[in-house]
Amino acid sequence: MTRTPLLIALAAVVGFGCTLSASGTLFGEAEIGLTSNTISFVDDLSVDLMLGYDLGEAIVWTESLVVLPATWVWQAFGATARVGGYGLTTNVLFGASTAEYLYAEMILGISIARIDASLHVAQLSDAVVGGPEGGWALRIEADAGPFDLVSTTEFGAQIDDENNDGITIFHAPTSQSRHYATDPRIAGVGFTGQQTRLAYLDFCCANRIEAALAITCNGFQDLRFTVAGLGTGIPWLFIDADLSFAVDQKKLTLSPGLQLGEAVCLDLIASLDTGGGRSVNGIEFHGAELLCTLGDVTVRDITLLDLSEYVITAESHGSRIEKLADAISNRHDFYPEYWQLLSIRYEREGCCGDSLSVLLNTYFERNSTNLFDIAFMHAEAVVPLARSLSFTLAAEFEHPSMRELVFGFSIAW
Amino acid sequence: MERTMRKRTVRVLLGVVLALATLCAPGLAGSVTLFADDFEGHAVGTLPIGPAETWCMVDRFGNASTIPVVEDEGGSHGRVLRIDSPGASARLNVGRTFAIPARQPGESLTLEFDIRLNDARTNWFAELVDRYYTPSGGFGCVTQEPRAPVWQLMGAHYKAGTVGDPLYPFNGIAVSTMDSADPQNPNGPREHEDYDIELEVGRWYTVRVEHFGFRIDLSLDGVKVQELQSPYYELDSSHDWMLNIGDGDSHGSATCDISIDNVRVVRKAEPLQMYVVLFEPETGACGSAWINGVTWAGDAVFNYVNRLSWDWGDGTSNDSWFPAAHRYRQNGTYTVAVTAWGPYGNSVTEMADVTITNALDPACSCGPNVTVDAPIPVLHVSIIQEGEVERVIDIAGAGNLFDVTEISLGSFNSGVPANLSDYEVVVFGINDGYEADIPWLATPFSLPRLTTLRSYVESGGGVVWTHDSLEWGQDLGADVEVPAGVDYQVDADRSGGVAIELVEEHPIARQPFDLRAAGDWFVSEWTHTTGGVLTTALPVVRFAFADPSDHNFYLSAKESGDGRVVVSELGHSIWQFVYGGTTWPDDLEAKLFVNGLFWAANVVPPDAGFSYAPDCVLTDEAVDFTDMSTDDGAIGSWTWDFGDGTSSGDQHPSHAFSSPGTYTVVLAVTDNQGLTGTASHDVRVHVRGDLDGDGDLDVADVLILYRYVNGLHPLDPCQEKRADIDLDSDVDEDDARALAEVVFGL
Amino acid sequence: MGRRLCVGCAVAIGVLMLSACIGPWFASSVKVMLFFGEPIVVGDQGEILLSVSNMPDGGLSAIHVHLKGMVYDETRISGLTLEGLNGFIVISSHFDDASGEGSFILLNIASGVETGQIAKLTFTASGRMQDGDFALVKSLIDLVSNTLTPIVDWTLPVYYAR
Repeated sequence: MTRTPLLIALAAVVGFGCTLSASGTLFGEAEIGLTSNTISFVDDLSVDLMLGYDLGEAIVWTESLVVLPATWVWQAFGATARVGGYGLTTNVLFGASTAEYLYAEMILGISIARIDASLHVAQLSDAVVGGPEGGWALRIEADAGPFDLVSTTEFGAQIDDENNDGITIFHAPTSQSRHYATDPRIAGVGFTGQQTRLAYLDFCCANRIEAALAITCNGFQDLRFTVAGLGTGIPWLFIDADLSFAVDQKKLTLSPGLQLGEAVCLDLIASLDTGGGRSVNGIEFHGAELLCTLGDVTVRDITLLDLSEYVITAESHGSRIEKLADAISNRHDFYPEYWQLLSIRYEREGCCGDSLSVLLNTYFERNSTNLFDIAFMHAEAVVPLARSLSFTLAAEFEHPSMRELVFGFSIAW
Repeated sequence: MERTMRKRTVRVLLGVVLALATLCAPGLAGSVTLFADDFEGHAVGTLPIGPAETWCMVDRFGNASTIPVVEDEGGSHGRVLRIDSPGASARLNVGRTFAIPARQPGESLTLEFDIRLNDARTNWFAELVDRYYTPSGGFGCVTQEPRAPVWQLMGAHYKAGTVGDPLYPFNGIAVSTMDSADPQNPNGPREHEDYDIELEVGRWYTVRVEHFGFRIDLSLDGVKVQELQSPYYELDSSHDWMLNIGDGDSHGSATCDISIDNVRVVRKAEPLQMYVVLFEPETGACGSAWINGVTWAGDAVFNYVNRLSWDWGDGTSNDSWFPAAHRYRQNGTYTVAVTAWGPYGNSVTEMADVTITNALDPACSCGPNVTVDAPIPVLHVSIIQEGEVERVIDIAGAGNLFDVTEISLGSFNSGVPANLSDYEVVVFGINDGYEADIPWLATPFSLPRLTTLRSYVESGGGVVWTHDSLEWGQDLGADVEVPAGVDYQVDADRSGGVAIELVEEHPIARQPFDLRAAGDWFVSEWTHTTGGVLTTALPVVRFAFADPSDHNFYLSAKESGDGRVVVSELGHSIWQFVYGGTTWPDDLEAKLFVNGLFWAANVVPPDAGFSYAPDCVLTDEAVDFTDMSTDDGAIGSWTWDFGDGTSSGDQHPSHAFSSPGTYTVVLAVTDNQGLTGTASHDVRVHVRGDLDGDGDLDVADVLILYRYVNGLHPLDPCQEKRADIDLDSDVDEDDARALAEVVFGL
Repeated sequence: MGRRLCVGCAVAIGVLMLSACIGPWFASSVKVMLFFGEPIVVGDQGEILLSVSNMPDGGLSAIHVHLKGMVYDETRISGLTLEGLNGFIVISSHFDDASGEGSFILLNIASGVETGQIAKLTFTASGRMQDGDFALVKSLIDLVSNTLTPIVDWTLPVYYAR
């Protein structure tokens, strides 16, 4: 089944080929990455090229990633078009040979008034572990004043939202990954589920009430009412309430939370220690984050007191403090052994209208033999060279040598 | 009991023994090809001795030698060659006859020949012994000449202990007892020796008196010893011994009275139990086996063994002291039994096995070869006049008789008969007319009898009959497959002087040949080895055989009655004359044997075959290949090709294969006629540990072995052998672990 | 106008393509695969599962990974122990933490596994885990089915979906 996604992609390309006559912008991005190890300076060399055509209403692009000397990771094609209230996005991912497509996705969206409807179709080939799978889903979002309605009708696919994660396709030898919104790995081709979420803001004392109904092929699954941030009268204590009805179970969960107020400069990361029971035994401090902006320079310092529960995520995932369990389940890259991060960012308007940014992250680990316990450094820079041309550079240094160097170009013309 | 055999031989001058380097192979120096024509003009059986004859002698140990024949100075005895013991043989390469004089009373003649016998008969020797006996006028109690063991008896009374007493001029006592000092020569009489006889009360004694050629009566108390019921008697008191010496015939006798008194009887040792404990036959060349001695056990006092009988296990037996020897004619394992006889008739038998492997060696036969031609189709053309066969002409054809269109008769001595038209030519086929005479002719075939040829032409003093068309029923030449140039041996075994003559010079396949009993014998019967007995007593019998085979004929013949022993040789025959007995019987039954290989022996190629063990072969494991080829002759060479680039010439090689696979092992054998045969087997060689048979040790073998150890997968016996990794003779978890270790390390 | 038409064409074709997709549009997977799962690290203890899918001839019964048939990042992974699952037992195993090379033999004596997990590797991790930290080399791996035939048509998948 390689023709269908090809045809979808082709259709998208053909469809928008008519607009080629109109003015458009070609853009390209190239990123070259070098990783090194203690033995050789260049352990891996990867090249990520993206070429696209921006037509204003439509963007057509292709991206390929090659890890030299011989690993062509994948080739991605995509097209996005938006005309009036209609939108069509097509993504196709091919593996090392053109006959081996990996994933194809088509999202057709319509916006009418305050209702956004989108139809997601995805297909995962058997060249990917977990496939072959296919499915589609229909999502309707409506925003009417204080009401938020999201209804997703699933036909063998899921769309990523706060409950679902979409699909991430990994290339095992190089650990590269790509994320897509539509996950077809739901068994069944007919109706497989229905999730409806209705959120109503500002109901009495509650900040936000959500009702979520989930129905699967087997019938009713659960109905949940969630209220977050119920005020309790104690300024630092609030309650999250969760009432759920399953087929044979009714559950009420009250989660106390700690709200420390507006952060000025120093954010404390603390949580309530309930001991798992119904009492609040104390406040646990897990760490602190310091944020300070001086002109163009932003300094951030994260200190973790307890690495067993909270970790620092990698820069690609925002360099935030996250619960270890959440980081693992969300598959966010994190550093399990660094307890402190010093991040300095410099950003200013560069010439030619683009911005120049330089970032330096320094990570410290416990009980190392290095000077000041510096273990890891991550540097990034985006330098606009000319109009529509910018140069990106990223390097990582792991004591005692440089580990990764990535530099790239971004061109638009 | 007397000893059965006593050998003395006539003087023989052996002359110089030729070098033993050359065995008496067939056709060597001194052999002459004889044809039937050689006998022409001579009385049958009396062929003059030609030059350069030699005896080919094969002694009892199988050693062959050539000995020139020399004239014996006792001319009347003819030419004899002494063979001193059973098992030896001699062959005369050239036909000769011996005229042996009539026997004299008391005379014996040694005629010793040997032929390769193919039957089981006793090897007895006839002894012709010259005895230089000079009668000296009567027997008396006189001292005998030293040559003849005669003892004197002085008629007198003998008193123990008194010898030489003039009152008792008794010189010797021909009494032997068990106490004889020389058990090997129990005819104890010593000349001029005195004996103290100690006889014991309550004991059995044998009193024996021996005299060669004489008969001696010993009587005890007036009763002849021989007439006693039992040869054993007990002495308990003094007895009167009477010794009467005579020859039992007509030479008179003398009687000496001996009285033995004052007998002191002492107790002697108990009668002996006889034990023959050990004997070990030794083997030699040409199927010979002999025993040099036995080990006795038993009482300390040596027992008086007076006779040893040997049964050789091939149907022959004889009495012989040491060394006892025998020539076996066929290969095999025989059980030799020796029976030792004591003086009381007691005996004991002991057995031992002897294995003979070389009886059929070609070097053991001394026979020249005669070439047998390929079959020649022959037309017997009979010229018949008035119903009488005037002349028979054999015309040898060439190839296909169909080609014969003319039959030409040579000139008549007296010119062409005027009444030629009265003659008719009848052409017979080859065996036409013979079928009735030969009851067991194999695969008879027939050719049509031509009718008479009537048209003739006088030509050159002869007559030529022609026929326009010949219609023969059979293409003779194509059916007969006897290669030319085939050797055959004709050996004759002569006993008693009857000869079988092979009338045809060249026995040819499908042609009849005649055997004729020669000599003044009254032929009693012909016997053929297939068991058929010809009832005819004709002196000439005719045979024809279609196929190559061995044929033996026996002619039982009786002496003609004048006592003449005529020994003649037929062709290249070797004669053996054997009989058993000390006297020449009047009605000697002689057996004459002809061993004939008339056709090419061994035209059958060898049937190659072999087996090998073990059945499940692993790399670097010695595989024993056993040759099982058979041949109607003898296989001379073996060539093994093991299929892995190596080969061997041994008969039973052992070979190890270094790498796995399937090897085609081929054995090629060649027999003594140069014919070959092959056999092949595919030998599958495995690697130890390779249970799935793919030639490699990999995880699949480990899986199979673990499953087998857990009872989930069967293994055939060859797999079980390969699965024994640790070589502890069983397959268990240790082997599985060991195999896993090996595979894991690869 | 032309633009809208073109867009409409694209949409129409897409819908048509979509309509053809209603119903099972994918063939059943017949790819015979052997693959590592995702390494899961809690603290410094990690585990990764070895799985197979669509093994023929009664399933996989024996796997022999020769030396260097399994490689791992020695700088961040050490102390590997192997445990068989679903009837597989570890016959031999060897992991060289200095060079990041491993070899092992797993046998399923009773039967075979067509699809499922066959082994679990537990290890001590220092650093962030990625998929590429554990890799198999197809040419150094022997697979044997439950019917004792070698399995040669199998793939090491390169792409995973999470």
